[in-house]
Amino acid sequence: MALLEIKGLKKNFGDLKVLQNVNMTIEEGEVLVLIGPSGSGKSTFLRCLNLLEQPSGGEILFKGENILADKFNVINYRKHVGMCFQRFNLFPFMTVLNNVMYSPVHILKRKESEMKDKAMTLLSKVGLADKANVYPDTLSGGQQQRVAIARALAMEPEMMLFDEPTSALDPELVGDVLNVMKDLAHEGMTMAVVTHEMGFAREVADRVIFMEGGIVLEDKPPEEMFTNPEHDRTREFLKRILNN
Amino acid sequence: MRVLQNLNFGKAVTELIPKLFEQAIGIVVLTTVVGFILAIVIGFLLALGRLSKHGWLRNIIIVFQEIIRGTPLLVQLVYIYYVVPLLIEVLAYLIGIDNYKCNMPAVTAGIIGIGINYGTYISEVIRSAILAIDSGQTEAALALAMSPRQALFRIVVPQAFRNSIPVFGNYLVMLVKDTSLMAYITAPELLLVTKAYTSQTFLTIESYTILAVVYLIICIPLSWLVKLLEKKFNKKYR
Ligand SMILES: Nc1ncnc2c1ncn2[C@@H]1O[C@H](COP(=O)(O)OP(=O)(O)OP(=O)(O)O)[C@@H](O)[C@H]1O
Ligand SMILES: [Mg+2]
Repeated sequence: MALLEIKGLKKNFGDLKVLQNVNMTIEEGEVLVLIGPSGSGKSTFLRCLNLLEQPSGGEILFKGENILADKFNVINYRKHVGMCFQRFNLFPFMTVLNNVMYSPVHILKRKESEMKDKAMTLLSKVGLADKANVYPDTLSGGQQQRVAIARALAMEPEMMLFDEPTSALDPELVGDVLNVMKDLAHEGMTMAVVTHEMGFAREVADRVIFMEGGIVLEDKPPEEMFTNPEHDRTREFLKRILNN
Repeated sequence: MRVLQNLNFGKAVTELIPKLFEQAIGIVVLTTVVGFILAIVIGFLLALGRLSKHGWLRNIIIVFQEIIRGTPLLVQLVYIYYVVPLLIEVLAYLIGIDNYKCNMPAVTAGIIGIGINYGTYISEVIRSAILAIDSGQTEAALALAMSPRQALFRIVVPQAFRNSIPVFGNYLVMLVKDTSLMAYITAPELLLVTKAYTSQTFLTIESYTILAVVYLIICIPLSWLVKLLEKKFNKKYR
């Protein structure tokens, strides 16, 4: 069974139809890269997947269970789906370590001493163990994003969503964040990533998905997407971002 | 001039200052501390009520805030001291308790009035501080499996509160000075004690000058302290 199955997903903001009819299957361990022009609904789609946005129609099945059902436990579901944001959104009043530990300890009720070890392991993994006791505002954007990844991983999610995790970063800081994400992909994490980093897509994506006007226009493996796109719109878009 | 020849600061200083310290300072400190804590609690509750999803609650609070902001603090104090006890007696009568006498000490009335008045202004400070916190903070909290309530109280409110502290400080200095309004409802604070002393001694110039200086001695260091707090809390978290 697919980890996530999305059927006929719709999202309107008032009269604005942002997602028209999105169908997609995400298998366990798959890495999806979502691309598309600004305003095509990539963020909205990602946010629907962990219900930060309430879809207007359609179905999202998580391991076969409809997450849009009335009695579905959203908060419990979010324990399984981590998210990283473009602007990191670390909690500025907590140290880096507490950012990573807070939800596991206070929401999942993990033991604090065990969680501290786990958090330190995660911070080492993203290369920031030495920053455990500083506040996020003292870190560079790239460092903050890596903390945000560690924070999401501390919840032990089954899937991770990334909404343009590197587009707020100075170019020289992008690589470190992408490396952490590549490691994660190689460890078998299921990931849906909105990004313009085509190198990343080529290297680790199982599928690249081109969205336009609230629908999935193309969905195929990276080699095919980059060498042989089916639609003119896809070709134009790829030409534009590959030339940048 | 006669007035100048009769000036007697020595007498006024030695007699009035001990009086102020014995009788009045305690009340000013009590009203300031308790009134200010009350104001922050009320401000916080009103702010949360204004952010509630229940329209009726928001509307009640808006009307309440308009009433408080549309009337002078002095009138509110008079109302709480003279009118509210009568209303309570009427209410007691209506629910069948005869001859209930409601005694409201002047200082209590002062603390309640100041707490409500400042709480109303402080609620707007807290409310806008909550609204000013980036929505990404709430989203991150939700994505980490917090409930909307947990996201508000554990992530947004602590930051909003910290950002409000410098503004709270300015209100604190104003509040200290406004305790003088309690003289009108017979609370023996600095102004009333001074007034009583002048009517016995006719040392008008001396007494009120001393009173003004005492307020300055309280308020100037307090505003320095507030400036320090401002410096500390306007910085980023380090
Ligand atoms: N909360 C909202 N209320 C109203 N309109 C919204 C809201 N969120 C998004 N939109 C609109 O929905 C459309 C799609 O937005 P979305 O952020 O999903 O696009 P995107 O593909 O992520 O674009 P970008 O590459 O610029 O991030 C845009 O026109 C946007 O203005
Ligand atoms: Mg977006």
